[in-house]
Amino acid sequence: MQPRVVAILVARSGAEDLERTLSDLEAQTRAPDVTLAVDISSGAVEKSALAAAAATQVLTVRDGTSFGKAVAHALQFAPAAESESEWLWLLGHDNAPAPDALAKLLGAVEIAPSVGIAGPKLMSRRDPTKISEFGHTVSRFGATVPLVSDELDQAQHDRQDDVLAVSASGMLVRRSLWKALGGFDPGLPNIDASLDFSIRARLAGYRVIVVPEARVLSGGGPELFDRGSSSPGRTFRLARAAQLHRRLVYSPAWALVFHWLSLMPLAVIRSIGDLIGKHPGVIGGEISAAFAVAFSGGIGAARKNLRRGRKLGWAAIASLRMPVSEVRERRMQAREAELIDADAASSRAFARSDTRAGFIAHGGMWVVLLVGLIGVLAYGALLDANSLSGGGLRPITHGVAELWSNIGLGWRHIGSGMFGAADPFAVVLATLGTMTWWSPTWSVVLLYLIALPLSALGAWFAARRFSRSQWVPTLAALLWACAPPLLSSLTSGHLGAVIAHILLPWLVLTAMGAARSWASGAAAALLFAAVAAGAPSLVPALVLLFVVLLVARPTKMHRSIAIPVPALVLFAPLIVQQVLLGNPLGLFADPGVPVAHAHASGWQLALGDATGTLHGWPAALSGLSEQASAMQGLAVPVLVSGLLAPLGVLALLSLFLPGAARAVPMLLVALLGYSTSVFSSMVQVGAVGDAPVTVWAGAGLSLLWLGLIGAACLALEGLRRAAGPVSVLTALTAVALAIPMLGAFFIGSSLVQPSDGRILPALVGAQASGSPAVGTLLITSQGDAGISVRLERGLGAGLDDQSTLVSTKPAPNDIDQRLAVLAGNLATRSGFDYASELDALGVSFVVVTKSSDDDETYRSTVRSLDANETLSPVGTTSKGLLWRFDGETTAPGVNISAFQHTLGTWYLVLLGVVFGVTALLAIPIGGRPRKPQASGPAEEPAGTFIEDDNG
Amino acid sequence: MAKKKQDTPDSSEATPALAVEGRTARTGIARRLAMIGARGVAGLIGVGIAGVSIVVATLIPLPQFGVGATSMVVAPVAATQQRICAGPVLQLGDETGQDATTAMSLGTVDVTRAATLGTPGLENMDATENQKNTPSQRLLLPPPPPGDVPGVLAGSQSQLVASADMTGLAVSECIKPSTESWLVGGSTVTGRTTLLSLNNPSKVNSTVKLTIYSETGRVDAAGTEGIVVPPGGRRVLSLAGFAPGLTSPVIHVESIGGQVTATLQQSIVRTLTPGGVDVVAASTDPAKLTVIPGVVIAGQKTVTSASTINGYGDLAGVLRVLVPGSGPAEITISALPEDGSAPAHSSVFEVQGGVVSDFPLGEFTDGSWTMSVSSDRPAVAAVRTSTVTLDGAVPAPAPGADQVAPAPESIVATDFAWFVGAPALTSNSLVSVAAGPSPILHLANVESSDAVVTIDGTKGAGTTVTVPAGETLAVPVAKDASYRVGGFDALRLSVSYLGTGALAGFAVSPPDRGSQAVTVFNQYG
Repeated sequence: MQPRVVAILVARSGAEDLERTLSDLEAQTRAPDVTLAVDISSGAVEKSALAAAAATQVLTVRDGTSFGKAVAHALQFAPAAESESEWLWLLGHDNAPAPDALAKLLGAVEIAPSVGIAGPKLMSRRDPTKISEFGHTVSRFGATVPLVSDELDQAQHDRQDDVLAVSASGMLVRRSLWKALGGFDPGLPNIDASLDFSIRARLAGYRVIVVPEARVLSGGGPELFDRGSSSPGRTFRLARAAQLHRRLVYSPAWALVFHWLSLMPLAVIRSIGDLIGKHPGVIGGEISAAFAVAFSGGIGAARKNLRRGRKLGWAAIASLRMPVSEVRERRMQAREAELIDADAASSRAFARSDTRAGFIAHGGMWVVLLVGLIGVLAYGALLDANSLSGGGLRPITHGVAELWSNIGLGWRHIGSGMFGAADPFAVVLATLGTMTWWSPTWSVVLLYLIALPLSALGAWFAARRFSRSQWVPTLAALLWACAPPLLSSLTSGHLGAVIAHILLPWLVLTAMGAARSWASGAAAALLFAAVAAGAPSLVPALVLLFVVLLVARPTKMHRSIAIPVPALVLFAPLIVQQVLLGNPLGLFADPGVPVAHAHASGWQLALGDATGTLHGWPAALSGLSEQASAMQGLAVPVLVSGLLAPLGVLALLSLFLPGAARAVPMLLVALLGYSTSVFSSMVQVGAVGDAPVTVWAGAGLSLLWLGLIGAACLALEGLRRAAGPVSVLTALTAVALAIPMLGAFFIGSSLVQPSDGRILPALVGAQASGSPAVGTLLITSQGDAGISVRLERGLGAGLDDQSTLVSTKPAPNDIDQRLAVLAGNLATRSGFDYASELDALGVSFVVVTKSSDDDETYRSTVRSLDANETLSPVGTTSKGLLWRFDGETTAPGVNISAFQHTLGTWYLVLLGVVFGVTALLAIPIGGRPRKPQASGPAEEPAGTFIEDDNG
Repeated sequence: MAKKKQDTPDSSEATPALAVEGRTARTGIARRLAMIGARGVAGLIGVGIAGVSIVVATLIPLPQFGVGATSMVVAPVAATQQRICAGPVLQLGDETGQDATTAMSLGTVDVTRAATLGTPGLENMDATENQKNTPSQRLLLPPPPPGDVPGVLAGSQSQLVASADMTGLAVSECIKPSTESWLVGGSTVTGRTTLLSLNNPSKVNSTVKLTIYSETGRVDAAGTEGIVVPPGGRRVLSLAGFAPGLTSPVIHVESIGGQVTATLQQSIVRTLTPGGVDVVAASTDPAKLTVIPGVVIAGQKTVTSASTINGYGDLAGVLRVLVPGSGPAEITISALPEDGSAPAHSSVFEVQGGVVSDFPLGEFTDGSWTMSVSSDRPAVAAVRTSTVTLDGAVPAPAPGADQVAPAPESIVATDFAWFVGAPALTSNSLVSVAAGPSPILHLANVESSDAVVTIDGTKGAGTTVTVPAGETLAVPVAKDASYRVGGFDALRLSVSYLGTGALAGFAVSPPDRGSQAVTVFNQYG
């Protein structure tokens, strides 16, 4: 008996496709006996087309109806089944069948009575020579695997017949089976609906086959059914939700609860994997799919339906699943194909950069080693030191755990203490300290030893980004490692500025690459945060450069736009708090111990001199001989200018040479750096005694040097044959200029000195180990200006306890004022009630230090302390003269409210998430250039706004 | 801005490619020239911007923003002021000659005291060295109510001694404790006893170190370090115990812990005749100018002739100078009569650092003089003069001879006094004049402008006097009275006494400045 075929055409949209499908349907050699058309709120064009077609019946259902429901709806209006061998032929509006498609399908099912479902070979609508879909299966873990996708049809799959599942498009299904299984699962509106249905058919004892001879066109997967296009994120979400839904439906009852509980944890773990794999766009899909499935109500009904129709065990379909090994092999093949694509892109890039220097082949490694040797010679005096002190440095007094607990919002254990935001630098310091976890304070010593080679390394790679020359990066590395701002930051202990200097070239490198790679953009974001934390004065300049970068490449914004986000999150609490305190300028304060430098005037800053000491030349010369010191005055500035002249002249010369347009941005960076340093020296952030502390100008000078070196390197390329001698001259003068600063530890002009790791006298330390709140009042004579007073608790505030929030305090608080009154009375003969105030403030020790050798204020302070019956003298220590108060003291307690505690915890969570996500994205594995979505010249690897002038 | 200029020739690059072959070369040259020109302009603009930025940043005074040093002026809580009076004169051993190493007090003192605010209290100190002694006393002035300016406390003591072993007048100011004193005076040659009294009025132990200088340089002596003076107690040390036979000692007293007052008491016994006693307070600290006002020269001829008697040599006046340290120093000694009757004497000497030099005063007319020692290195100085009373007339000098020495038996009484350097006073001062014969207040003005000074006494009406620049004014004052001296910028004051067989003087020390306000900077990092 001829089987009856009911064709059900579900039209959603796509007038052109629909017309073709309708005409092809009419042209079937074996026409369906009944044709039902379901119109899901399509447009007027589609309606008229459907009406004109020879469909038996046109049904209209409301918008949003899924394919499966539309079919079920149509079946209600179909003539009642006449026999067992009645077939349903499901077609979408895009599924134009080949003329013999139905005939071939029927031919296949007629000879095999056990077949319940037959699927055609779905050909791509855009390119009918390509197979779009040809059967599906699932992996061991239930993930959908298309057997074929996007392959040129060379009859290579034509031997295939039994498959686990076929697509809904063009599916020929026994009507009785459809009824028995209850149609498509309503919990699977699009993706995996047919897969699930096919699996249930298999479990009911029917075969599912593909019929290679039957060809039906397809516009795309089921996710495209109700729309023209689907974003990768949406497609992923739908697919993931479908997979999770199936997992819950198929799972044995006892495992259901475990599967349900694992939904969210799995989503989080997979999200981390997605980050590492540089697919941050799908994370939303992971989470929302897990949510949707966890709280969808359709699981129970689907499970019941499955149980009802099932006749065989799961083992029946095991052979049709794709084995793990094959899944792996397919994945590897896919990756290889992508790599080939990427290789093609990078080989194009390589063709442009084939002359670029190699790290080992062209001196990169040698200059790093050379500079490393210079560094070891210069800072060799620190080799056996465990910690450093002086200038902006103090020993780090805590272990790794405390370093990390120091970040975020909390009690600032310095001076009289306060609740507030830690310096962003605390995170950098904690990272640094963790690297030498056995002795965090030694990490600073280590950094000093390798600061020069690290700088050279970064500069070398950054310079290679901009220069085609093979040896110009070498010169840049040398100049950057011997840059006066780096060396003066080192000798004056501006650790943050040192780190900023080391990281700046890497920041440039990654920010330039951010448009092309997630990893690069995320790394730039982390580096931006670290540089900003180390040298907050650079932030305005860096933000300006960032905006320029965005404007220069507006189409690539999405990977770069978030670069400042981690820094913003890191600074947010401090910004809020400083603004509330009315002291926004305090945000620019350098992290670390405040240091007061002599004011450097404009021309000194232009010479790269942040401390007004002319790079240590006057001090070094006066140490050499009397005559040399006599020739000071104008001679030293002239000498320094002369040594700097090659670099400065080269940088400006770059404007006159070919390639000048590339030099302009470099010189603008230099100008920005210079302006930063000038403004830095105008902003006061606290004081050391009576000397105001200005923002460290060295950080701005690092930016100035960056621009100068960049421009000079470009000039060297333009100089052609003269470049060799000029660069040798530049290198020699730059190194010569640095000699006094490199020798600062030997001359003794360095503020930083090796330290025994103690901040307070050993006796105080011994007491503090028992009672950590023991207070020590440090009185430092300021000569004629008076005295300064500082309170330390326990072992004293180390580098890790420093807080710019505290050090830039605009006005002393109540405790500070009481400390000042106490110190003022201690420093003079007075009738003050010392015992009760020392007790109330929790001060057990007094240390007095002098600011100069001939210091009457110091002597009178010592006299009055000696004559003070409340204190007993202990004697001279390496940290100053020490007195002890033997009475009872009660230190004021730390005062954090529950709200503040909660706030701190939530902030840490936010910080952790932002940095975690950025760090995962920054891991350079898994990253690959995205396949071009729409190929075209616009997507060619674009040069930077600096590069492409010569391109 | 400069970038745009540069872009123009670059972007025109595409157009010539389509141009006719023949025009290409010409256009190429033109284009190249245009590019070079554009680069030149860009370069000059760049150099200009660089130059202008540096010049602007250097020459324009840039303002400072933000918060710099914040300080607080802390006025210390006023403490009880105290001044310690030396107490009765001491002698070694009792009348019977027993206990020759123990200092015994002799008689009592008259203390005159005053305060500008409140009433000074008087309290005995602990006579640590010998509990049988009459203790020395201290003056106490309690602090004013908070906010009020503390008063000035002053006092002095005098004692006219006339025992078998000791005669003469000893007047001294009650002084503030300090960590450092330079005592210029005394002698440990035969018949001369010099006792060092250390009073510790504080509540903590004081550890005292003595450095003794003499005419032969610094004296190394055992026991000069680590001398502990208990709180509220006194130690009396005989200088001869450290260094006997010194003609010209100078003692540097330094204390750690509680501050002490240090005074010297010198007494002279010539054979068996007591020759005078004096209590010497600290001279001014080493300074390039030391001013000693109110040096009394009395009976110059008599003293000179009597000083030629064997054993009476130290009747002659001397100026004792020490330049601490080592190496030579040049000093200028000048002497100015206070009534303006004679021109100033001035001589230049070279002295060796660390060696005490006694310069004989020579022929000075009777009266009071202001001596000053200026040197190229800080020096300490004091002057000793004597008075001699003869029984009857001195035989007329024989022709040809200047003087005739009187016989020792005709000398009825002698006394001597050490006049020490007076510190510069810069504010209102209070002078207490203890009982004694014909006290005179000396006001020395070594500044370059005249000083108009008001003197208000507790006895008698106030006066206003003018002390011309560079001169010293002597104003007779009443004994057992106190005077507020004010209205000047810088003056040095001293008080002298002269009577029969009685000569004494003291320099007025500045009011207690221990409670000056201090500027305190809070430091947070």
